[in-house]
Formats: sequence, C-alpha cells, structure tokens
Amino acid sequence: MKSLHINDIKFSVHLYSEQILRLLPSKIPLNVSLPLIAETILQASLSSIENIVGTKTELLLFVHGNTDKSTLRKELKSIEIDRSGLTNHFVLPICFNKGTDWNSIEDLSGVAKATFIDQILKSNLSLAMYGFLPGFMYLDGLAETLQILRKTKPVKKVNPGSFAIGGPYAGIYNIESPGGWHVIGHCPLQLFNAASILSPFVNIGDTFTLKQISIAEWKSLNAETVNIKDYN
Amino acid sequence: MSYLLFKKPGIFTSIQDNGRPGLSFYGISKGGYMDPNSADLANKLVGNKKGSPVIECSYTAPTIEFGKNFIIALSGADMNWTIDKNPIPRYTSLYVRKGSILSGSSGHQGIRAYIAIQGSMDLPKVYNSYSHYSRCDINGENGLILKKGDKLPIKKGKSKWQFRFVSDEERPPLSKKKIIPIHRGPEWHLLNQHSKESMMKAHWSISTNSDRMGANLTGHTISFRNEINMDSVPVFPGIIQAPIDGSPIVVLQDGQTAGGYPRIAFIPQESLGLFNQIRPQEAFSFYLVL
Repeated sequence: MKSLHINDIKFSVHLYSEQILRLLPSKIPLNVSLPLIAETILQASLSSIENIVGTKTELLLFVHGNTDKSTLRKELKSIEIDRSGLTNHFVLPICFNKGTDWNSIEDLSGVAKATFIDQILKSNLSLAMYGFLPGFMYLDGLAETLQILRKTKPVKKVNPGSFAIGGPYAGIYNIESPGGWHVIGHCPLQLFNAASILSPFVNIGDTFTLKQISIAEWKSLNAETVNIKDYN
Repeated sequence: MSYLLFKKPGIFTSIQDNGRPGLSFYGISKGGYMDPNSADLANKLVGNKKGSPVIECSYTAPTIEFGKNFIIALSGADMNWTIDKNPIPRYTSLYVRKGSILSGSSGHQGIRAYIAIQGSMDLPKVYNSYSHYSRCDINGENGLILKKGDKLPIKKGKSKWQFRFVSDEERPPLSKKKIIPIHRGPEWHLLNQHSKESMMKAHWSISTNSDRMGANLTGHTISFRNEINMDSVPVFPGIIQAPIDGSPIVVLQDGQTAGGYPRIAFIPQESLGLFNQIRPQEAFSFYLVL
C-alpha cells in the first residue's frame, strides 16, 4: 500500500510493519490539522484502527491485525472531518518564578527573562496536539524569537505542572516524567484527568491566553484542585 | 474467593495483559507485557486465553503464598523458582496446593519472568485493560504494583488439571547472546557515516537508568551530519530516538507517544520482547535488516 485517502486528503504510506503505518500528507491540508483528523478517526471508533497518534506533520496508525486493506481504505475514505473551526478559549495562569531553566533559556534565546515573559504573555497559543505523555498538550503559536532547541540530553525528572518550551511549542507536563524541554514556569491547574481521558477539558484547536500569577496566587491555586474549565 | 498473598513483592512486580490500545492520541501508550512471547506461553500452559493478565516480575522474584489449590505456569527469565524450597521447572503447567509458597531469586537468562494462574483475576479493568501503567494512576493505586501483604483475588478456572509443557525449541532464546535486529528509522539519513556503522557493529548496553518507559543505551556516542531541530513526531515501543547528546533511547511499552528527537531506527515488534530481557550493562549488538 503506497497511498490512501482520509476523506479527500491523500497520504503516502510508509510501513513500520503490516500493522503500524506512518502516514504523510501529500500536501498539508488547509483549515484542518492532522491531530484534528486523528481525533476524528479516534472518535469514529473504526473497526480497522486499534490506535492512532496525530502530530503536525505525520499520522501513526495501528491497524487491527485481521483487517483487510479494502476495509481500511473504505473506512478512512468515509471519515467526515469537521472544518467549522469552532473552538473554546481558556486563560492559563502561569507562575514564571517557578521556572527552573531561565539561565539556559536566556542563553539560548538571547532574550532576557523579563522580555521573554512579556512576549509570551502576548502570544496567541492554541492546542496543536496531545502526545508525549498522558494529556501533554503541545501549544502552537510561540513567536520565533522565543523558540529554542530542546535540551541536548533530557533530564530524568520534570515536576507535574511544569510549563516548558521546546522547539516551536510550549507545553505542560501533567505528570512527573523525564523531559527535554526548558521549564519557564508552573501552571497550578488540573489540565488532565486520568479518569475521563476520552472527555478532555481541552480539544484540538482550542486557544489560550497566558496570565502571569504571583507566588502567593500560585500557592492559593495550587493548594486546591482546580481544573481549567472551572477556572475559566 | 481464592487469592495469592504477596509475602515479598520483588523489585517491580505488576499485573500486565496485552495492553490498553486506543489512548495513544492522548499520550497514553498501549503498555502491556514487556515480553509478550513469554507471557503468551505462560497463559497457554494454564489454558488461559491469549492476552489474559499475568504477574510480570522484573529482576527479582516475589514470594507468594497460595490461598487455595491452583494451576500455574512460569515463563521468561529463570528466577530459580521453588515451591516450598523445592526447585520447580519453568515452561510446564504446575499444580500447587493451598498454603504452598512460591519463591525465587534474581533472574538470569533474562530479567522478566511471568506467572500465569489458571482462571481470571478479580480486578477492575481500566480502559479495557488490567495492565498497570507506570506513568500515571491507571491501575496503580489499586495495588497493581504489588506490595508486601497484597492479596490478589483470583476466580479459579473450571478446566481440570492437564499436563502441558513447552519444548526448548519453542521457548524464547533468552540464554543466547543477544543480537537485536533493527530497521532504519525515518531520520536514519541524518546520522553521519561513522554513527551508522557504530549502530550496526558496536557492542551496546542498557543503562541502569532505564525503566518501562525507555531504555537508555550506552557504549557509543552517535552524531549527526547537521544541527537537528525537528518537529515532534509520533513514536511507539521499539523506536530508537537519538537526543543531541548522542546517547540513543529505545522507547518501551510505557513510553511516550511523540517526541522531537530523531527516530534513527526501530526494533521490530516481534523482537522487542527479547530486547526487554537484556540485563542492564549486559553487552548486546544490533544488526541492520536491509
């Protein structure tokens, strides 16, 4: 199988195995992101698809072992993609004094901490995709001056709630994990709930404005479990 | 209700089945058995369905008291298993009596052993799986990382005792020198020539700083033709990523679903179980499947 269509969008197919398919779009479609396509496929509960990952440039499909190619083609072709662009907007409180990597961020970006914070507060961020770790949100919209390379070696432990930047994205670590991004602050809200993964607080395309909070405000929010929907 | 009492938990003993598909979009990998071939054989020996939950023991054997008579089977690493201090074989069905004590020591010929119990575990399924997921509270808080004093409830199967065994030829080749096949990954071409040769020829080992999420490789440093700054892209268990410091990482069962380091190669799914039996600091080699 060299190519297939999801709705009217053509993808080239690269096989890791008969069941694991790497899909690259022939051209990046307008008004629809690959993670949105992945989310649509997930919600359609296709008989041919066991698992799916969608990032900005690629899809990864895990196909059920007993699926024939014609069923896979037919199911993917029939997917209806919502191109309405309707999204929600959230305010995300960040305590930048909780950032642990400001020295390296200033070195790599050449931008002083105060200027960096000022610029990122003016950014219009949106949820590009989930991935990496449970509920980890990749936020698009970082100005080029604020984009820096990932760490050369990931650190073993990043604290839950860490707000970090890596490459073109900002993101939040919901759980403790290793990590290769630079931590610039902390968000005290609950953004992900393991008990309701399939009904997330935030969907692909939803937008964010950052709000700088003090240590005292952070302590107050961090003392209780406030989720992003209730906060907004 | 029948049960197994964990008198000693071992180092990292957990319940695993064939995983939790369907959540990778949200960053939750499928997880499941680290060595599916060995787990499948243990289930087959006791007459359980393929994919049923088993006890996965890593590095060191737990000590377990049986609350009733059970049919069990052991597979994977050799942990010098005994029942009431008498040595018992792996890869055969075993009838154990109420009050018997199963114990062992640290694993050799592999690091992951499996215990299958005929019947079903009376535990909650979370997102359609019994597997403990080590990255967040999915089947963790309910005790599926097994601790001293835990009682694992079992609904006994109705099948009668039947002697079954697995021949030497059918067992995973855990005692042999480990040579792991790899295929080129999407970013293989970014490696410089010397690093490509290192991947194929060099002796590698797994760092002790590894877990169910990923295996950090040591032995050689690899490097790239140019500076790397790539977008985050999908990964899955078996993918070998290379951070810019040149120490490759193999994404494992509980690993991330996307990452921004080059995917230089991947271990095919059917060989990942063998890779997961390699002891940290034990030398092994890769060979490139052309």
